[in-house]
Amino acid sequence: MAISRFLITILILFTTVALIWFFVFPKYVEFKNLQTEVALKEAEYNAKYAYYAEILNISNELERRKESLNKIDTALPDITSLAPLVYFLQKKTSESGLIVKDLFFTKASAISAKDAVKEVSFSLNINGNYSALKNFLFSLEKSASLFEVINISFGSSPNLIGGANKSMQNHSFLLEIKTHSY
Amino acid sequence: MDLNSISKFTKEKSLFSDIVFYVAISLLVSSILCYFIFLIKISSQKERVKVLEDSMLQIGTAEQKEKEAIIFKYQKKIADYTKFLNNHKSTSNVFAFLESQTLPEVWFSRINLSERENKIILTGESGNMDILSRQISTFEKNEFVKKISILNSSVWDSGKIKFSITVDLDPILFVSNY
Repeated sequence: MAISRFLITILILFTTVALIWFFVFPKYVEFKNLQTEVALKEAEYNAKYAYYAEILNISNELERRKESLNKIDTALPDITSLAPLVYFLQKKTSESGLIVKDLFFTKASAISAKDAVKEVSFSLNINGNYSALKNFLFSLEKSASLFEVINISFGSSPNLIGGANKSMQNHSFLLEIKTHSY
Repeated sequence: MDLNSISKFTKEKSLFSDIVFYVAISLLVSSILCYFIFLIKISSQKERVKVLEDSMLQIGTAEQKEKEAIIFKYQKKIADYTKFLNNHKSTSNVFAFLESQTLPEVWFSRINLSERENKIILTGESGNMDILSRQISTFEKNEFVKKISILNSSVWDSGKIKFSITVDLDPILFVSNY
C-alpha cells in the first residue's frame, strides 16, 4: 500500500510538472504578453484621444480666425489658372488710371525642390502718368496678395521726377511683378 | 532491533509519505487552478484589447482626419506666409525717397529700379556740373544710400549735364514698414 502511495505521489508530481510546463507556463507567457499589449494599446488610445482632442481645439480656433485665414488664402492662393491674377492686375491698373499695353506671364517655378510654393512672375507694360503709377504700386502693396515689384524701368523724353514735377505727363512703364502661389 | 523501534520507523515513514502525497496533490490542484485563472485573465485581456481597438477606430474618423489635413495645410500656409511677409519688399518707399532727395534743378528721365539688387540706375539732366555734384552729395549724405557710382556724364551745348548714375540702396529702404 505504502509503495503504491509512493508511486502515486511520484506520478502526481510528474503530472504537475508536465501540466505546468505544457499548459500553465505557456498561458502565463500569453497572459504577460497580452498585459503588455493592453498597456501599449491603452497608451496608444490615450495619445490618440489627446491628439484628436487637440485637433478639435485647433480646428475651433481656426474657425474663430477665419477672417485672418482668408487673408492668407488670398495671399497664397491655390492657383490652377492665371486668369484671376491677370484680372486682378488689369483691375488695379485701370483703377489707378493706367492702361495695360502688354501683360506677359514670365515664370512659374517652385522656390525649391522640397517647397510646394511657386513663384509667379509677370511682366507688365503700362502707360500712364507718374501719380497713377504710384497709386498702382501703393494698391499692390496694400492688397492682400503679396505682390512684389522686382523691377521697374521707365523713361521717355519728358522728365519724371524733379524740377517742375511733370507728374501728369504720360509715360511708358515696364514692371516685373512677382507673387506666390501653391 | 526490537519491535517497538521497527513500528516507530514505519509510522514516521508513513507520515512523511503522507505529507509528500498531500503536497503533491495540492501542487497539482494549484497548477490546475492557475491554468484556469490564466485562461480567465487572458480572456478578459483579449476583451480589453478588442474594446480598445474598437474605441480607437472611433477616434480617427474621416471628419477628424479632414480637420487634421486642414490644420496641417494652414500650418504650412501660415509658416510660408510669415516667411514671405517678413521678406516682403516695397518699392513705393524708393519713390518717396527719390522725391524727397532730388534737387529742384535736377530731372530724371529714366529710372531703372532693381529690388533684387537694391539699386537704382537714374538717367537725367541737371542745370550744370555744380548742381549734379550737389545732387550726388545729397544722395551720399542720406542714411539709405550705400554707394553711388557715375556711369557717365556729358555736357550738352545748352550747358546742361546729361548723366547716368547707379545708387546702391540700403535694403531696409525696401522693407514695407521701415
